[in-house]
Amino acid sequence: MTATPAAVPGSAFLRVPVGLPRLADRIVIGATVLAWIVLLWDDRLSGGAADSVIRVTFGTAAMMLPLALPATRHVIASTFRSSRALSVTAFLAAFVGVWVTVGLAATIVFGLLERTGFTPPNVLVGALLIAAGWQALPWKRVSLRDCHLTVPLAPRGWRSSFGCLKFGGIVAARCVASCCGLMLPMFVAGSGHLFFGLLAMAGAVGERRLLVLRRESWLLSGVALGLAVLTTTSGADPGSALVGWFCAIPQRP
Amino acid sequence: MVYTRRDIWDLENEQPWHPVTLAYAKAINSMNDGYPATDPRSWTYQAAIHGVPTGTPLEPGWDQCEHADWFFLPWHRMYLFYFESIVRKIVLAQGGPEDWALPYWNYDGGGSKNTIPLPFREEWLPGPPGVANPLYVQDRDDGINDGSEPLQSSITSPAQALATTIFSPPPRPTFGGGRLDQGGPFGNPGRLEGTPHNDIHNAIGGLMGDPATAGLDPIFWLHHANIDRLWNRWTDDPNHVPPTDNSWRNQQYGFFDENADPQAKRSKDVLSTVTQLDYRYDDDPLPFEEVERVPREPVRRRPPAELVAATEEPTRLVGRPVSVPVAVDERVDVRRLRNEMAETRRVVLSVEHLDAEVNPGVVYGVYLEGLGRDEPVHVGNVSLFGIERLHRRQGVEEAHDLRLDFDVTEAVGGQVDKLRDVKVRFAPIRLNAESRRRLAEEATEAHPPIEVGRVSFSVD
Repeated sequence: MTATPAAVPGSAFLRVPVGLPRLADRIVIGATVLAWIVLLWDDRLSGGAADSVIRVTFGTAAMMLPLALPATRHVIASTFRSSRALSVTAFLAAFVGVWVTVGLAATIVFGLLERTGFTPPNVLVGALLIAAGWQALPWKRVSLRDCHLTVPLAPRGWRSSFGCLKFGGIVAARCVASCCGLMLPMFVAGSGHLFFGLLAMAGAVGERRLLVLRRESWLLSGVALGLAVLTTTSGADPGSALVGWFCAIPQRP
Repeated sequence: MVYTRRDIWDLENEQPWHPVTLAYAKAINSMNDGYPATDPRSWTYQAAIHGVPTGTPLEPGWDQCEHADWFFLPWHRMYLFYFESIVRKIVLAQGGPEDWALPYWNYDGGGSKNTIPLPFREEWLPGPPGVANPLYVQDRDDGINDGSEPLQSSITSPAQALATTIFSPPPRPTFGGGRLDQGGPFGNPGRLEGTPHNDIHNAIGGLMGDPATAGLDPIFWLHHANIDRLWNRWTDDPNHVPPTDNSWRNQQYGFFDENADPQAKRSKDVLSTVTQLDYRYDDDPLPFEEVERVPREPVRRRPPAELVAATEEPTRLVGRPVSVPVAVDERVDVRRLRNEMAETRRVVLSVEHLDAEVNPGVVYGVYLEGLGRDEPVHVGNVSLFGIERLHRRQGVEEAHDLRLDFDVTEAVGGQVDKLRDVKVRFAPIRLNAESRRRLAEEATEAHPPIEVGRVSFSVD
């Protein structure tokens, strides 16, 4: 038998997302970019409790909002135009609110731990190993699946706003469960750690994009494991080393 | 050699217990008796490739059927291809027809074709007495094995599916099912998978009512051959283009061939049955010519899909007819939409967030009331074959957030403002035996309920 695939010309049509999701993309991407700009360029974020809150809030928004994109699409597609602004706001507020709460709690806990003598890189190695292990567990796959579950939403009125608020909380809680492993090294290395923050965001977004493939959890496990080995052998935090190296590039002759 | 799959009713009209049918039955007996259950060529192993009950330890290749997504058609085409090659080798070894090919059951072919073919109703094989007929399965639903309850055209007709022009979204509804590669909500069967595929599974009942056991009923393979044939009929139209995305074309699945050797194919390997798989259907156009597909015009600024009406409360289906009103968005610009409707846009009815603990085995018709006609307008069916798989937590690949979409543009005459008076009615078309018994007893619920999270209309 000769396998001769039928000639199928390309079609751009199938790759163009429908209009309402485009609106969701704009809202979420815009908010994410704004959060990153604030996080990266505001030199006030250097110390103090209030600054920490700001840092955690914008850091959380910057890293976690992309994860809310599919659910934001669902909210927009499920509500009448007249109720849409309020519904999306309620959803995103609940989503970010849950994550900020978790971020603040983690910052406090790890801040206290650091004061009691737990210092990187040993703790970081442990966190990376835990992350690698969590990514490989079947529970991780189940929680990732749950991240994609949606709920029926009322199309208008208070039912819609309340439903979206609840939906935002549910989605965020499921994302916390799914991403806790990836977030752990970032908090251990220091809240808002750029390298681990970016890595966690890329990993979390990537594994949702590659949902149908079975290998993504193992891939991220491998990355975490590799970083753990690197940290152990070098005796230093590889994230800081890489960021330091990157920042030093402009100064080189 | 290109083998020809023929309509089993035509075969049986030529000759009762046609050699092709008899060879199929004898081959099944050989698959049952001639191979251990661990051999991929055994009957139970082949059925297990489609599905197994939850908790069953998995052998290689088991439990991989694709449903409620855009891999439904290519996966089942590959599955039948390898199954047919196993059966053909056994048939030839038994001295059966040299050109043996899997027959199909065209239940929409008119006359008595909407009843199960005669060889599947008889308990014994012709010839020496005492040889059980493997084509006969006792636990099919009432009226199936005796042919007393023909399948209604509303569940056998592929007309609405064949009229669907898009294989995968956007826009919905689609012929082949929703995409799986973009994350987000999925679990969106294509129209062909809904009707007639799911409906027939539910109507036959018994083993056929559950993906974990469906492959054990010999009629399963003829049913799916018909679904596969209907994919060919859809592609007769050069405007009907299969997905061009590599995530669909390169999706690979593994099976076992007639020598029990593992084999693999990708979706792009099964687009043409004649040139790639060496078989055809008896109603395929002759002579065979590779259809040159018409490229679809790129639409870069497609207007957004717009929600225009939706229910505000969930609906529960328990075996009795129910009508649900929909709330209309008063801010919808009816005039603008009406103008756009005249061009390319369609009114889509979506039945969203369908859920049930078990498949009640009932086919519900979906109707629109309040359109000023004497009778409600039938626009499609809901049947939840395989719903149990939504609740399995073995991996993220399982479908969830199940939704069905129906193109109702013609039913509403392209007039969005008519939706203000519309109710959506769900009424059972075909109840299974248990549901009928419970209804006769006036039980509160005729069968395990189906939850419908929301019913909505959008313009897409």
